[in-house]
This record gives sequence, C-alpha cells and structure tokens, in this order.
Amino acid sequence: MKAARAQEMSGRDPGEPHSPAALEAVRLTKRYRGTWALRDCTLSVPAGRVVALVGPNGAGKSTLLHLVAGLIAPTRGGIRIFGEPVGQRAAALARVAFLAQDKPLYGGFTVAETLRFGRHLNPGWDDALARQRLAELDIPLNRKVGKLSGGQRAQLALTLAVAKRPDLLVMDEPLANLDPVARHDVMRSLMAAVAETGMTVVMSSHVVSDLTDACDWLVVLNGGHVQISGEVDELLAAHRMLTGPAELADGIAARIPVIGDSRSGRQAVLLARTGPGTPSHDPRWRVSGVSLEELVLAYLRHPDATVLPRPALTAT
Amino acid sequence: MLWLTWRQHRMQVLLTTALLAVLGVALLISALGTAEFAARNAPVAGCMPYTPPCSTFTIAMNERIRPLGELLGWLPLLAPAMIGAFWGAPLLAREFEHGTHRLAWTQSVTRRRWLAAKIVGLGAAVALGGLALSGMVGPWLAAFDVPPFDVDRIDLRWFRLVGIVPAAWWLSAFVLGMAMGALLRRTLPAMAATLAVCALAFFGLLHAPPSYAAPQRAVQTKVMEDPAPEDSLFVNAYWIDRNGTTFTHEQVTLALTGPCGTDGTEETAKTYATCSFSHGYRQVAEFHPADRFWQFQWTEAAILLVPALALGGVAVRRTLRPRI
Repeated sequence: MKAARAQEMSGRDPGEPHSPAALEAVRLTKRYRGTWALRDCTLSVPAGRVVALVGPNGAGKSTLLHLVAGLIAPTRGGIRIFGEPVGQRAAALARVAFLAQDKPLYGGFTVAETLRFGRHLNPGWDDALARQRLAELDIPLNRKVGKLSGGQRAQLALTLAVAKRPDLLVMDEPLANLDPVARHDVMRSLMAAVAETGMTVVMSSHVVSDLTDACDWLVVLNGGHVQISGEVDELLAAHRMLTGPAELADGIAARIPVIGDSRSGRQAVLLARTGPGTPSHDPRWRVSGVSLEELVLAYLRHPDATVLPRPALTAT
Repeated sequence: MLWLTWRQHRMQVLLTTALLAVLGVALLISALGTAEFAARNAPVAGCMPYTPPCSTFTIAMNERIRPLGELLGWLPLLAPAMIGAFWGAPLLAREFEHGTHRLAWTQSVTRRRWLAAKIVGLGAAVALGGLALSGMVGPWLAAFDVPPFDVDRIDLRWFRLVGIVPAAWWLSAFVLGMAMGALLRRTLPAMAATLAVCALAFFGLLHAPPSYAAPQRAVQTKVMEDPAPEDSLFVNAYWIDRNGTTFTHEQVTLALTGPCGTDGTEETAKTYATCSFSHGYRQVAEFHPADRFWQFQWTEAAILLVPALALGGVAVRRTLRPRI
C-alpha cells in the first residue's frame, strides 16, 4: 500500500496527460437566496499538491470547500475529484476527507470512541496510523473529547481525516482559533502525513502567511471568482517588484501587466507580471522578487487582474 | 452504523428501559397480589350487582387498581412527550447545532444510510418500548378483570395503555421530534415544539375515540334495565317518550314530579322507575360495543401515524438534500 503511494508521489507530474486532476471545477456557481457565493469558478488542481485557498472573508472559500466535500450541491456547474463527480456515493465519499472550520467532534465520545467512529464509518480506515499519530501527540485514548484542549481537538480532528486515507483532504481554515504553538504543531503533523501518504490537500485561510511554507499551489478566490490558480514557484518567478522613477511608471504599465502600483512622490513601486526570466529593461528600475503575501495582496486589491491556467486545462 | 446510533443515544435507551423495567416490576407485584386476593375473595359467579358481597369485592378491587391506575393515567400524555423531546428532537437538531453533521456526512457512509440507521434503529426501539408498555399493562389489567369487577380495555381510562395505541403514540412522537429537529435545526426549540404538538394532540384526541365510528343505539325494554351492555364504551344517554321526542334526565324528572313524586331514596327508586316507564319514558343509550376495540385502536394509530410519517418524510427529504 505504502509502496504504491510512494510511486504515485514520484509520478506527480502536473503535465502528465492522462492522470485526472485531483480537483476540477467547471463554471461552478452557488447562489444562496439571491446572493452569489460563487460565480462561474473554473479551476483545476493537479494531484499531489498542497493547495492554499486564499481570499478575503466572504470570498466564497467555505462555499467552494463545502461543494468539494459534497455537503452542498452547486446551483450550476460541476466538480470532479480525480475524474469522478462529487456525490452521495460511498466510493466517492471515501476519497475525500473534510475538516470543517469549527473542527466538529462528538464531545461526549472518548478519543478511543472517536477512532471507533472513524473505523465503523470508513472502509479504508487506517487504525494503526491513527493510534500512532495520537501516541506521538500524547493524546490519551480514554480522555473525553470535550475535555481536550483546542490544539488537541484540532489534532484529533485532523487524525480522523488523515486515517480515513483519503486521496484528497479538504480543510476549511484549519488553523483558525489555534494559538501559535498549536498552529505550528498542526501544520507540522499535517505535512508529515502528506509526506507519508502523498494525498492532495486543499486548505483555506484568510491569512496568507499561515500557508506560505506548506503549500505549493495557490488559488486566490475573490468575490466569488477564481483570481489566481497556479504553482507557487511559477507565480513567484513570473512576478517582480520594480522600484523606479514615478514618471516612467506609465510607460512600464503600457508594456507589461502591472498589478500593484504604489507611488510616493517621485518614486513608484510596481508589482508587475514580467513572465518567467528576468526582464531586460532600463537600469533606472531596481528589480526584486516578490513574496507570496505581497503577490496575493496586490491581486486582491485589483480584482480584475487574473492568473489562470492555460485554456487547455479549463476546456475539459 | 448501529454502533454509532447506540453510542449516541444510549442514555435515552437505557433510561427508558430502566423506567419500563421499574414499572414492570410494580405491575407484576400488583398483579400477583391482586390475583391472590381475587382468588380468595371473589364472590361466586352470578352474584347480584349492588348487593353487599358484590359491592365489598368491587370496592376492594377498585382500591387496589387505583394507585397504579392513577400513575398510569399520566403515561398517555407524558410518555410520548418525553419520547418526542428526548429521543426525537435531539436526533438531528444536536448534529446541526454542534456542526457534527459535517463530520458525519463526510465519512464514507452516505447520508441516506446514516439517516436510515438512526431512524430505523431508534424508531424500532421506540415502537418496541410502546409495545412493551401495553404488553405489561394488558396482563396487569387482566388480573383485575374478575367478575363482578369489570375492566374494559375500550374504556378511555385504559384505551391508550393497551394494544397498539401506546406504540403508535410513541412512534409518532419520535418522528415528530425528529422532524422538528430537522426543520428547526436547534435542540431546545425542537424540544419545545415537540412538547407543544404532543400536548395539543393529546388534548385534541382526549375524548375522540367515541367518534371513531357511529355509535350503536339501544332503547330500554324493561324497568330498571341499563340499555348499554356492561363492557361497552359509553357515548351518550337520554330519554324518549312514546312519540320519540328526546328529553334530558332533568326534563323527565320535572315532568314526572306530579304523577310519580320524587326519586329520593333507594327504596322508592324502583317504584319511581316503574312509574316513569308506565308514563312511556324510555332510557336510550348510545355506546360502542367492546368488539370495536381493535377498530378504534387502528383508527387512532392511523390518525397519529399518517401525519407524523408525512412530516417525517418531508424532514428526511430536506435532510438528504445536499445543503448545509
């Protein structure tokens, strides 16, 4: 089982033509009583990625994740997970694990009973993995879930999701309501689980810095639209911070897409999509790299600017 | 799945079982004591009603049946209300309230199976509980049914404690509570609504059984005769004269004050009755014979279960529909 997984991992080439995308949404739309939570979201995430779903509050992150988990149905459009439509079928449910924002668990159950819950409801349950994780985390099996600390609860909820052995783990704000130490611990044990199982992970946050180290794919959702979807390294390589004289800024903006533009007096700082490779231009401009946070912030401030995958991916 | 249902609802199951067991022991002790008492003290068959040996026995039996009978009298109201509020209402409302439906529905079990396990598992337990109650009350009542003491199962005092009616009440209250939980999505409001509807149903149907069928009508044929059979369900009694005009008891008394005097003492009762009979007044009784018991039981069960199951169906559909 583990060998097969490892092979799956080693073969995670996004350009591989026949492996279906871990997550593919086509013109996904969700409407709640007249308000649009999501509008025509088209998105494709290759398998084996750790995806950061970022966006301001109310951007539709939770709606998108609930749609992926099959908790709600879309108004229009569809989602496929590893090529199969999301739905109320045991086989489809077994492939996706979901961790809701408030990390719901049965407070009256003991930790051991929570594991039993997972074992009874999931044919692919990995009891050894669950017990090993809890032992490493020093969470006693006979403790009532209601008596666990917030961090321990989050860890138990995460254990429940991971031991289900899903191909896709979906987490809605997994780090919200956790103190910095617990954030760090949860993230570290999540990354260990990802390394071990090779599963695809999608997690949302409105704090970009929480996810920078862990994620290799970025999706930015803004006002119900997908604004960015792409590999983090590619995105960072394609954007540059340009610092130079303000009077030349408009000239730059005419040639290359400028996402962020802040001018103070005679100096302008532009966040531009320069494309891969260092742009050759005027020596009066100082070129530096951008951080993921700067990039996300610049795009969120300009909802019209988008970076989406090549049309070939979305047309299917 | 059955383990999960049991684990989440074992408190209710254990408590209900324990209460039924305590009641069962009390009923058993009472029934055994009464059977022994009746075997020793019952007058020989065919004793005249209202004569001292008969009355002594009847009064003694009445004293014996009263304490538990009064306690049992609360059950048709209390038991369904408690079942609805504590078995039914939290079933889905608690999940919605704590967000644990998002946990349960993202395991590898479809929502349909999850819901079916809960409703069928607990519904069966509730129906069994109701049947257990009537299964214990029935033999207990039978222990008292020693002539001349008379226990009628169709009598409204016992009607909702025997047969299938307790199970029908319990089951529909459970389904009602489940539906309220699914529609209101909060435990306390769902419990309150369930209690309110249970109370309304109880008081609405309190005196309903006599109207489940057209009553039979019997006219007095001889003096001092009670036209209604002994073990029947009484509906109405009135007087008619030779022309068929109906009168209340008071109207008859007033009309006979002159010719027959007053119906004062026991000795004059027979003379008075003969006099009223000779003046053409006949007593009329409307009643349901005892063999309508099962017809009435099924009628009441249908009155409860049909709307409850319809509401339950709506609630299940809403729950299965993929929305948060």
